[in-house]
Amino acid sequence: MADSTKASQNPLEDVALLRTVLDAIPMRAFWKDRESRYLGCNTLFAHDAGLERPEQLVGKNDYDMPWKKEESDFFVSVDRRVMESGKAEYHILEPQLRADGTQTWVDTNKVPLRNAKGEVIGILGTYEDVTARKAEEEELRKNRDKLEELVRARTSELEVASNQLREEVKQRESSQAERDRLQQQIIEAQKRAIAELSTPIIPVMEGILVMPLVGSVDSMRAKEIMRSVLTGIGQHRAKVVILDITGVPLVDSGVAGHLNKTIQAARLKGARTIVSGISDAVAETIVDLGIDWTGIVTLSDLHTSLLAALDSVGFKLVREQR
Amino acid sequence: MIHARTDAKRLADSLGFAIPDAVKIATVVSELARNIVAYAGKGTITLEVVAEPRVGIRISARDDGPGIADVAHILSGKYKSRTGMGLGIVGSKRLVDRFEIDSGPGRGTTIVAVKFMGNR
Repeated sequence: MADSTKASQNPLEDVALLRTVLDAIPMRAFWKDRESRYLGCNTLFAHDAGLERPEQLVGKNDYDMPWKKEESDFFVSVDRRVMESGKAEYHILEPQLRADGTQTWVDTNKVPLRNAKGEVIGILGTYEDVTARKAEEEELRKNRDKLEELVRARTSELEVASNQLREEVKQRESSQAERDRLQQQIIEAQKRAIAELSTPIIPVMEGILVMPLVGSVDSMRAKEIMRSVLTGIGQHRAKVVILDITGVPLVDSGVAGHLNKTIQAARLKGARTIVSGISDAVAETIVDLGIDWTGIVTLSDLHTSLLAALDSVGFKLVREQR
Repeated sequence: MIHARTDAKRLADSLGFAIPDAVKIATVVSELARNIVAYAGKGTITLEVVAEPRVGIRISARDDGPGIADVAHILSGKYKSRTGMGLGIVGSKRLVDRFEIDSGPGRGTTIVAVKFMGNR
């Protein structure tokens, strides 16, 4: 009580003390009337506004200040809002162009000022310069954005790459399947062509047929051979069929079995079969394999076979005497 | 099958096997391949060159087919297969110098046959 009495007794001293306090804090401070005209400020604020001393500010408004017009518009609109609502607003982030030409960011608090009756008669504002903090934040945000952008780019790169890979694999698979299909088609076509070409029946003379076999004999070809032989016997009323196997690279039990069947079927149609053209190697193999061809007439070459066939149908080759 | 025996013939020729032996090797490959196709459906035939005790070709035929219940019966030569000749295995055995068969019901069949150069 004594202190307050003393203070009221010496108002000049109070004002000086207040000024000292206001200039000692590291913040800008200002106060305005209801029309947003400046009533006072501390020295830091005066400097921001390009003035040397706070007294030079009194009676001016924001549009007299160095800040931009749109900044002033914003300051005044916030003043009005605070005075009308009677509620303080804290940490308003605002841009502010200073007298020295620097563009800054300030963190502002605005508090309504009231008279003894509680009526709002103006506002008290304080702010601090957060340009550096803002710049740091901006830098951080930029870095984060950059990182995110990098991650996005890398992700989409990876996606593109993996899509390409998937696509390539798909293409390769489909082209491989296509190749396999084509190859199979070619093989089938060739098989048919070879089957037709490779079982030619040659009627060399009345009652004698020759069938030269070339290449491997598989079960499919064996059927063709038998069919050709049987049709040939019927067509040419053949008594003897010469199966020439000079061109068959090897006779295994399968081939031997197929030939046996053909020979038996020919016999049922009334024709004898001579197998000719068994090479030494094939003969050796047949013996080692244990193939029993004892009931089958085999002769070494086509010439001998033809002579034997002619003989059996009652022909003789005679050289004409000239 | 045709590929297998063509390859076998070519390998035998390139190693300098006499023609009858090369034909025998190709025939064995053909017989073993025929068995695989007939009984197991699919399998593998591997051809290898051996150097010991003499240069030769080792034919390994392997399948996961039903296997052979009575190997001894097959090797006795009394068996007649449904393909008629019944000579596939017995005949092959006679065509080569070494012949081993490992088979049993449910565990497939492995046959290893070796033919050396300049023998038989």
